[in-house]
Amino acid sequence: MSIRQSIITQRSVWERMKKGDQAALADLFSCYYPDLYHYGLKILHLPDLIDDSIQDVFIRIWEKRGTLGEVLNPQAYLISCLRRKLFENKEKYFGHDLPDTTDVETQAAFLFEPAEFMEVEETTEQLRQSMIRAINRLPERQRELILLRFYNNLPYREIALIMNINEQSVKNLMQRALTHLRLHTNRQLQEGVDSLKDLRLTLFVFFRKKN
Amino acid sequence: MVNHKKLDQLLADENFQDDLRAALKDPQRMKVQFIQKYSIREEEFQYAQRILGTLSFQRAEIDHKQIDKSFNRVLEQIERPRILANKKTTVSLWFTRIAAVLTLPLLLTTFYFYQQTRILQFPAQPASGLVAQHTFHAPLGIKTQVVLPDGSLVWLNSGSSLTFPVVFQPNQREIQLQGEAYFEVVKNPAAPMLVSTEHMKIKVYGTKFNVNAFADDQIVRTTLVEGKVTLIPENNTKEYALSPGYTALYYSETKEIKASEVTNMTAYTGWKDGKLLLQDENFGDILKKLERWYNVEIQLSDPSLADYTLYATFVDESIEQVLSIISNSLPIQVEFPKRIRQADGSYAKRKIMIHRNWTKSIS
Repeated sequence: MSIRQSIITQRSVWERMKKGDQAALADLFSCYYPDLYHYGLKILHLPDLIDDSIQDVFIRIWEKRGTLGEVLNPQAYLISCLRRKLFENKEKYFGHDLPDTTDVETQAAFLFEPAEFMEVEETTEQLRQSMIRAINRLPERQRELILLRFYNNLPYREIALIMNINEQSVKNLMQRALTHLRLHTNRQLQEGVDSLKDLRLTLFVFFRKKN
Repeated sequence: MVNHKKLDQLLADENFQDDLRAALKDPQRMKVQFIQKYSIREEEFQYAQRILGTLSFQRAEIDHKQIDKSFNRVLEQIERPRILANKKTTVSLWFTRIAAVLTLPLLLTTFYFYQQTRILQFPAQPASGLVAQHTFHAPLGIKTQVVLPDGSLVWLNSGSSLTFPVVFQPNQREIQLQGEAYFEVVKNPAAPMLVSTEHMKIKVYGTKFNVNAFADDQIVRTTLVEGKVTLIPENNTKEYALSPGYTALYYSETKEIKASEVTNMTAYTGWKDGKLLLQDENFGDILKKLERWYNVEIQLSDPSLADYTLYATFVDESIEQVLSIISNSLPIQVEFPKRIRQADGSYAKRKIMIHRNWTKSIS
């Protein structure tokens, strides 16, 4: 099933929920909980608070189900609800200016760790390491964009709604982020090519010797 | 060769990203198609693949028990509203009752105060041609701030007084000033403010400016900080406009007006913040200033001393300190006679004598 198709099915579940179907609410909850939880922890590393906030989001949606407007993608809608809630809470807990004494981990949102990345054929360990470093050096909003686009697989239109900017701005932000990543991983990108070439050469030499 | 500019644009393209990530899963079949579709080189394809490929995330797994537990809490909350709704009605009913009880007294007091204000405002109406006037006076040694009926602010320097009506007329705001004041006038083009001093009137539309018109000075000094004012000297139909950052002197004896640019605005307006600035003023004028500032009487035994000029800034200093600092640069000797106790037990105004000090050379 493609992403688009699954969104359409999710929309029908959403419609059922709006008509008062509690089973549909349960489906939506178990379908989106992992992504919401993952996203929430990226903003505030307080698991209990994230769990509570997700519950609040669903309770409010259920209470307001009669007056909810048209929702194109439930996931994007839910993320934007949670996002608003968490940034409000973040201010409540830490104030606008986070005190110096708090752990850096709790301050900055949308940071990434090596364990979160998949090992794919096209990359090397060094490239992955320098990529993670480069991502974590991006401005917070660009890090959020990387998450929403490449982890949550959301289209630009939905990301625009979540981040409160227009679609063109999302694209511009993405280009800025990727250019930054390319420039900061350039050496490893080149090395990647070289090491692949090296590997081919070694294999070639190796097989020739055998022959 | 990799065309980075083109590649950067492609990398940010939504469809390019989707297609490339699909190609990651099925490299051989998609690759050719992909390279054709976006007309890029193989090298560029690999480059893009390496960047976007590295941005592949591991899905975070969450225990289903956690999700179920969490959803049960949602269910608990959802099923409660019925009871909550009942509670709400009783609570809101009580609020309605309390509100009903409170409304009547509130209405009555509002009506009462409304009537009161109308009565208070009545005498201010210029029905009989007479308007009630306020006069504020800042005694010697004391500065004060006055808020005019239209919200304009006036700082009154010591020894000055300001007279203004309880309510301004709709088309003119007339006030009288004796002495020195700094104005911050609320803008109202329909009702210009007219500041009358003994020898000159100043017409104002909304601005910040300083007027110095002490009766014993024979000179009216108007200094404009911002906005626009026009000067109307006595017995003169002509109006003189003053630009911001300029100061104008009107000599009432010769009926002359001279304007010059201000290099240091604080010299003219600093007094309202407690700064006493003396800029190229003659000693006689400075002593007049000090007399008002400190509420003292200063006598010069040698009138020729009055012609010395000096620059100085004082903040928070006492009169003794000020004069001792001045005596460092002028050939003067300061005498502080003992205060005279009057018959009723109070003390007379403090007197200070200044003599020429012949032993000191002029620096």
